[in-house]
Amino acid sequence: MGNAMHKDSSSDTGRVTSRLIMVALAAALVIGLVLAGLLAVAAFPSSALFGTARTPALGSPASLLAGNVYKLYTRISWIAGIVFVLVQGAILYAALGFRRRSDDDPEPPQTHGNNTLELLWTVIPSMIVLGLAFLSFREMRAEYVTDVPDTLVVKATGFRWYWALEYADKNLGQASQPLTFTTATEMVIPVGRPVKVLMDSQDVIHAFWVPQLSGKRDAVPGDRDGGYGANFVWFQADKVGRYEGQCAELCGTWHSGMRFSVIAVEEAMYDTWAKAMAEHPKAPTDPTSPAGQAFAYAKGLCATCHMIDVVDANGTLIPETQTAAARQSAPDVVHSEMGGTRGPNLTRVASRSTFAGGMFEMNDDNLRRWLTHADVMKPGTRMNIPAQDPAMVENLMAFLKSLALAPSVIDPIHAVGPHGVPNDLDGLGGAADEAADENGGGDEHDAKAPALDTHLESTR
Amino acid sequence: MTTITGDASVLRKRGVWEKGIAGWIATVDHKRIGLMYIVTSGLFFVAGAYLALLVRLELALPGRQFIGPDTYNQAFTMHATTMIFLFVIPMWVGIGNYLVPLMIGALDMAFPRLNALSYWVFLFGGLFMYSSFLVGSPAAAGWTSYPPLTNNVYSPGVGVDFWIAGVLIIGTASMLGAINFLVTIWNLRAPGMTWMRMPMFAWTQFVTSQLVLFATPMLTGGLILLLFDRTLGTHFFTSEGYPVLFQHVFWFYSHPAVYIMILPAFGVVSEILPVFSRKPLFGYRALVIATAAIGVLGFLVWAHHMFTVGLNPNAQLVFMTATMFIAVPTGVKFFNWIFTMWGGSVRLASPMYFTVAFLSMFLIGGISGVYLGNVPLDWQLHDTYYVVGHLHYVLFGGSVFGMTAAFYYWWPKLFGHMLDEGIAKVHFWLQLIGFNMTFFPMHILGIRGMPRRIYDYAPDRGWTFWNLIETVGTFIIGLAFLVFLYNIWITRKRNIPAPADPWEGYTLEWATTSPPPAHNFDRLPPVHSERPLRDLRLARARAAAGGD
Repeated sequence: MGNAMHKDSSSDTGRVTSRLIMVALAAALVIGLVLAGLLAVAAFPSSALFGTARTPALGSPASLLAGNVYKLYTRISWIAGIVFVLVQGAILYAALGFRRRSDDDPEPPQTHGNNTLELLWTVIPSMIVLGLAFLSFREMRAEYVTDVPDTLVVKATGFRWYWALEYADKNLGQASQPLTFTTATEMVIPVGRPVKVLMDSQDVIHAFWVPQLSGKRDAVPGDRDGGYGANFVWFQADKVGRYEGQCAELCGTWHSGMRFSVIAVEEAMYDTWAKAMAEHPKAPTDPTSPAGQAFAYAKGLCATCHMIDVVDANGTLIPETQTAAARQSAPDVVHSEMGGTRGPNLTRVASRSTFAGGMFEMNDDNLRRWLTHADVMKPGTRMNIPAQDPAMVENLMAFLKSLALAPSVIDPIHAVGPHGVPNDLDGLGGAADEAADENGGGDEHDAKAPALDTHLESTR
Repeated sequence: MTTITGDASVLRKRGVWEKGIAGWIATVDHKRIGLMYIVTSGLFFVAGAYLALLVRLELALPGRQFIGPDTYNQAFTMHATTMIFLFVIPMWVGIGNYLVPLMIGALDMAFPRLNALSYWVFLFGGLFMYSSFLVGSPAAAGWTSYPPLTNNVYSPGVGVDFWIAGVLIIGTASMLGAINFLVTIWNLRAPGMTWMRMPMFAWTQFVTSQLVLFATPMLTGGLILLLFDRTLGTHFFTSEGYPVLFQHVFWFYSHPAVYIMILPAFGVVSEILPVFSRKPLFGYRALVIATAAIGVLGFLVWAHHMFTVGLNPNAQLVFMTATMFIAVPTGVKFFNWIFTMWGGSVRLASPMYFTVAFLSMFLIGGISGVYLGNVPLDWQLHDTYYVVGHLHYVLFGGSVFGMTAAFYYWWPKLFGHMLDEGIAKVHFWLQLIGFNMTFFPMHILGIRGMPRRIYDYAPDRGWTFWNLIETVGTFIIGLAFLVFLYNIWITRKRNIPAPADPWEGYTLEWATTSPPPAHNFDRLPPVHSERPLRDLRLARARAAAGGD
């Protein structure tokens, strides 16, 4: 343009202007389509757009409510897309379509405003936002349902950095005394049954979020908000699958390592699992056996933070591995201020597919490293164990494995992968984990593992 | 013509004639103080950008790259704190400090010594906060600083204490500055400059100052209580108290703070668009009303940052509706800006490049905000990278693009020479491309489940590709900034003097020399409309025609 246009006749100018309109609109359309397209595809199934089966995409919902929110997203995207293309087109057209051709051009008509136009662009956007608000009113109502029959209630308590999960299932127990048990990091739920997750926190604010099942909700310590009770989310998984979740509220050093999984399985499989979980395994009876030695050791050390729900020959829970209250009521037991509830419940830890906030696959190598170098694998953890007798480490592993569920109960659950894809935890995060895989993981002092490097640097 | 009556002895006493460093330290001249604000916040921008680079490098790939989780948390905390409290807000104060007295035809700010005080308090507040890097470790709990994470149990050490004290000091500087702007604009407008003839940039600074004055005390109070919790063992925001209350207090300040950061940019484009379209601002009165409306509505929407903490559902509905209604005055502004260009004679010089980009990028930020204002969608998108993308489209695509436009527009006035138009275009395209590469994929990541503020992510989540693109984009933004610095350096070296009014401006600052003398104006043109300099040009043209 510029000076070359100066000599154009008015008809040329008209032609150029209309060509510019086309260019501007086309440009806006292209920009709009690219951006809207990216957003639309971005919300499409997990595997689209450089994703994997395990990508927790809004566009791969596995519950009715998450699906509805995705639909709402799509509807708003249509409106937003149209608004964007129109306004962006107007911006580009106004900027490019009225370009000054020469500094000698006369001053254009001095319009100061137009009341009709200005009224229109106040009223029309008001209508649009009211419409959008209405769309979400309906969606919100659905998420505040209070009581649904057959609900499985799970209390999720945020700790730095893992989720403790306390189950209370009225269907499997009695209404007055539901089936209860405690686990962590891996939440098994039945497909097609409503689940209500109540939030709690024992330290800072965390947020419980499984994108494919529901929106997130904060777990606020000492929650007392306006009499509405504890925060909760509802979901009902429609499809068998493993869905990844993650803490979504900054909670300190290892916030990124506070992951968890929800595994939705057929109801019968869940029932078997839940009943097995609620049974308390027997404590080792022979104090000289590896497991027996480990149990004696665990009562003194592990039980300061962890609970282990094991029973004696009479079927009574052993108080040394219970809460502070239980210890106090047992006369000869050393009182622990922490009450054995800071770390995850260890009873069935060997039957969870991952541990340490979902960061490591449960296998011998990782567990062995964990029992000696937890603070390296999980920076900021309280699990800071002094150097241990390697034999005792093996004993502890044997003890934990002796408490595990029967393979026939847990293996089919762990075989469930995302969206029917077979489960494969190789992609699990944690550089240390990968290093452990590569190096056979046997060497706790493996200098090649980046996380260990850090540790050594920081202690230097 | 009105002649400014100024007492030269007063000017001498004020020290503006002193030379060298002492002259800068002792100055109470609003232009020098403005420049000091601009340079200081520019340097804090470099520090904040360096921290952003650390964050992006760490996230480029899964696994640990080169900083640990604690350093990472410190980096993003101090990045946000720096960019908000030490760069964007004070940069607008600096630009306003320089320009507002000129635009309203005043000799200086109403309280020149208070003006100097607020600058020095700001500088030392910023340095104090940054000294936490030296004494141990800076805060690592996010710029939102939510308790209980910021209690002394979970954030031991002095980092958070330094952070709180730093924000308190900087907030004090802000409030002093706001009072000064309000009194200046209220009292020192040139004869004839009624409220409805005042330049839009002065209007936005006026509303911004009100927001600062009414919102900052809330944050100050909240932070003092948080400091009590940390040091005196009180329980305002502990789990025995009410942690969520801090969030209310924090966002009661920090949501208006968004408008504190964006309204001056609205003012800038409202100045640039008419001049470069050779038309008056379309619907000036509507724009003033919209600005005021945003100022009021900005105080009624804070809880939309808290939709996941479990508020009363009815309260959430109210806050959602109020939030969405902010789109209305913002939309009014958009259409007024577009129709200022419409039918005009648009000159696409460097300020206009950045202004048009501001409109386009802020449009995206506005639209993504509608998604977030929607409660059920926010339950999914809150605290994800979608939010990070949205806020950068508003604060970078909005505030920083507006700021860049302001620099290219007023540079000749501030420094007496033009910036190079060719280099400006290289700068523009690099900044636009780098910006979109860095921040657009964040929306995608948020929709695909990536939470914000995480130090690391699993390779199997499918987030790697977009994170890598973002990191590359960050370097392009860095390159754009270097090109801008080169432009500053080379044009300073060439030093071709700029005329008093290089753009055929409309407002009073173009009536004086570039740069203006210490007393601002030798003669002040009369103000009969919102475009006194156009009136002056027309009067001169008529006089010339009549005289022939």
